[in-house]
Amino acid sequence: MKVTRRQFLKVTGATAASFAILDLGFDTQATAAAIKELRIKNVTPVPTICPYCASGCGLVVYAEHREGKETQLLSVQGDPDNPINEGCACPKGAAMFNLREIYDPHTGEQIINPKRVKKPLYRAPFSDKWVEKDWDWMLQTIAERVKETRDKSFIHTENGMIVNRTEKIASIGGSGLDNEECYLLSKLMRSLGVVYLETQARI
Amino acid sequence: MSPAFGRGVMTNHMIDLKNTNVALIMGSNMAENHPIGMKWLMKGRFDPKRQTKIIHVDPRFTRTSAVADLYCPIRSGTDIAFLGGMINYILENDLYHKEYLVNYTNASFLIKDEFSFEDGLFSGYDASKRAYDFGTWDYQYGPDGKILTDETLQHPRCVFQLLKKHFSRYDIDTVCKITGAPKNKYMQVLELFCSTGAPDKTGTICYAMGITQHTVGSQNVKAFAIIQLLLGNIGRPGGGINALRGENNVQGATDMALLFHIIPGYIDSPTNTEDNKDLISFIRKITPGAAKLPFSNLNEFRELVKAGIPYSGWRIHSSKWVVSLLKAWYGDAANAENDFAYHYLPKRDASKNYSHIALFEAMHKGEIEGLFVNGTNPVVGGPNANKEQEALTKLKWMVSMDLWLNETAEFWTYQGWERATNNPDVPKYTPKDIGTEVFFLPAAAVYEKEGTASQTGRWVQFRWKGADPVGESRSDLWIYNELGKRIKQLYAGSTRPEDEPIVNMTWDYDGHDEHEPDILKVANEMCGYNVADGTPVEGFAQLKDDGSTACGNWIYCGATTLKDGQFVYKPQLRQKEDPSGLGLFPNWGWAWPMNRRIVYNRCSVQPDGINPWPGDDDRRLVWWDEASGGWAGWDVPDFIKTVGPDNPAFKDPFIMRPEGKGCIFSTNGVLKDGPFPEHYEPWESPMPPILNKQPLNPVAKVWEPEKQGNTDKYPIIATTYRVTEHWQSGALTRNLPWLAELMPDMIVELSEELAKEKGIKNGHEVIVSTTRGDIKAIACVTKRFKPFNLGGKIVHQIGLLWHYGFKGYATGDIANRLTPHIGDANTMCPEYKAFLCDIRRA
Repeated sequence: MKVTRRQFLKVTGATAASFAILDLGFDTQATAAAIKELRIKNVTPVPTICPYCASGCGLVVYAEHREGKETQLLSVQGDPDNPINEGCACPKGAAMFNLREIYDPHTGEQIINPKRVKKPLYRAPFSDKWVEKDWDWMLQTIAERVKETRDKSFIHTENGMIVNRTEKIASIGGSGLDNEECYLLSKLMRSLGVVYLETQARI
Repeated sequence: MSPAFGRGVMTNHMIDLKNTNVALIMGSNMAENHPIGMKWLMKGRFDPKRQTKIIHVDPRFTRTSAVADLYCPIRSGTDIAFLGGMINYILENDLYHKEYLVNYTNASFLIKDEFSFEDGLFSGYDASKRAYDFGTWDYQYGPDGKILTDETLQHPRCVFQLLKKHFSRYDIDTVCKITGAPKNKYMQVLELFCSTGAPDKTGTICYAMGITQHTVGSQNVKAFAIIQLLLGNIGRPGGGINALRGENNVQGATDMALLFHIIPGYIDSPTNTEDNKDLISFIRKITPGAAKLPFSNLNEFRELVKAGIPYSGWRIHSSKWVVSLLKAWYGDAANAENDFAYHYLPKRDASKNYSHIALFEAMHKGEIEGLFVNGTNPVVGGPNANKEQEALTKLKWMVSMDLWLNETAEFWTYQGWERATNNPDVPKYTPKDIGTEVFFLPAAAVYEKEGTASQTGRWVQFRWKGADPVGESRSDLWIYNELGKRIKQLYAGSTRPEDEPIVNMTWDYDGHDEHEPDILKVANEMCGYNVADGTPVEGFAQLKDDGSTACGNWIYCGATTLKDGQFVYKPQLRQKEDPSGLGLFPNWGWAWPMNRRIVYNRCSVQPDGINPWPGDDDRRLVWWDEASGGWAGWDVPDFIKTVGPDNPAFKDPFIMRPEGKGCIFSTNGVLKDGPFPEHYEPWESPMPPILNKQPLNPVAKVWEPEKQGNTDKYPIIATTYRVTEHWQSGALTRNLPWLAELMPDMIVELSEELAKEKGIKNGHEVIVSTTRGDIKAIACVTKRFKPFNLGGKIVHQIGLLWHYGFKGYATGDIANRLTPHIGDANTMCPEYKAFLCDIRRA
């Protein structure tokens, strides 16, 4: 199920209204028409929930999906329909654009945030550098490490009782993940026998 | 909160804050860290009907204090003294809500004669184990098996009288001497907040990590619970205890049981003991009241459940939740003949603790080989971060998933071991010393994927995908789906019994797109389906323990439905009607349990179930509807719909507690350090104990006795906190240029008085040290901190920002290199908020 068209109209309506009150000091009509057309071209507003504190504020992502090119953001701003924040955003919520894209400080060009990692990376024991690897190799190698550690440390029975656990594998974190992700993580780790399983709620 | 009310959750929700008369914010800088939540208190302030007053209690005058009506300082780590004084004040001045107290709490219950309290210790203490035997912490039962009560509250063994006696020592002068709160301010706080004991008023308490990150964190919250039960503020709009959670889905991660001690839906995780050896034993253990009942199989147990088990509460249905969970995880391999594969679940060692501090202590000893790090950053955010970073060097392999190479992903670099000073006591390594193999998996950002998050008030909201993941980054859902598939492949064909949990684990989540699993498949399994046809189970009351239903997490059951043959995932709902005007928004997203927006809402009406509290007509949430013979209301009743006036449970609003009442006295060790809170000084404190003879919470585990700092070398109290421009360990904010620019440097705040004493000026570089390490920071000399006058003794406190590390656009030394490895006696939540340090010019 997707958000209905009517609700999105409300969102975009609010944006248009805020345009109308801007006084740019020159012939706004022609400029606004041109800007408006460019800004909304190929753009779908999509609602999300803020990833910072747990207030649950809604934000709307405006992104341009360009044929054959990478998606480019127009803006990320408070969702006026969300009853919790009613369109407001705190400094962190208002900076969510930067989670993905920034303006290059030298050229002013809009680019992907260079701190984002684009490929899986591997650091070999005792090495002082990362090496790029493909997903297939990474996932396969991790699965093998898990199996090796689990198998050699597995406690199947204890005092005549089946206990099915390993104390050599641990998992931490997850409070930044979605529920469905946490659910899979919880199910997989427990089926592997992991008991050192913790998230940020503890700390 | 769970020991008092039955669930450890925020009782109300963000928007509901507008309905309160008085808000007490304590242990939280809400205006800065939950600014949008704070907005709802401001709405209440300007609503002529509420005229909300805001109280802020904090060691430092913060942005929250600046907008509060009343600010009162408190020394870090003395909350129970402060709140104990409030309990005493309520009782001495008869300010409690008597009708509520008698009917909805265990105030009238009689406690065993053997229960006692002396010199700071409750009965049953064993000093050699630093633990209690809980035998005497229980109710008195009559020959009919019923709990004995005295509704006049006069019996010397009733909870009310024991409470009165316990807190009679917490007089105002003693409290002010311990906490450093000025007497006039403290008196104003008492008077204003306790005014909400009037039946037509409600008061709310908002707290955050300033309350829980202590050796007495759970009891701090329990003290809140006692106050709110005395004042009749739970289960009502504008009331409640509102835990302001700090991570967007920390509630959901807890619900999904990413914690060692529970399995999904807040069921104790099974242990390696005899009473957990098979499914029937486990059900006996987790179902309150079942311990001594005669049954040896599920059929016999079902008959007993049908007849009703006294003092069991809603947990009487635990067997249905467990069997449905096993069915969801292991499919056809879970059946009536094999205990529904209960033996597949890992059984933890009952004598061990596996929580965060314990996990890193074990890792530091080389006991752990492999670690998954899911978007978390313990090298910055973990207590005693030097030690936790060193622990990572002992791993064989580590998998880190994040958007960025955070400090934990790069713990092995040269940069990771740079130190502010040359201190021989703290470790220093180079990459060639570190054998840990590190796998870094780039994760998609929040709006580059879809899924749900459960916010602090249990509202589950959907996130749609607004942009493609950057580069080759992938959602964690994809990563775990792929990893699960590959692990299953490696075990495919194995006939070893120990491999069965993996071989038989259901794992079918692939979607149409190779880059995204089908999220609705996960949702359907998590929220529950009928095994026969795969259709959603509409609510947890329909779950069965015969294998006909599968449900990965019973508290999320009811979030899915079929409408006109179409699958509906209710967190996606975006309808905005609010017929009550109370801000419940019943069709915006979905809230667990069963879309109840304010839990324990039976308390919003009088015991007769019909009338609102006198003078409080517009804050009635639910009511008994005689005509339909069921409960109705603006909110979904947090009550069994058909329990009417003829049923003895009609006045038992706390359905998740065995006794059905709000618990002022916590029985049977649900809190390991006492049935009532008692003030104990932090592990590192400038003050000797005054109220009792115990130097520390007698149950708190001391991991590193040699690391305890004393006032000779470290005379200053330190605490840690956040600012609005950054978040947690900073990975998600220090990598954002706009935020890095707003708050570029690691600062330490100190008072003008201390600065003068130490010759420090605003902007100077300073070194802060504890027994765990040293950090460099920029001094921020401020009037926001004032020295505390503790009965004539002057003590200074400083504050450190939490967010900095050596990666990102804004960098600085890690505050947690100073914090100790000691935690709460119950939860092992680390003591980040009160420890001893020294400060000097760099």
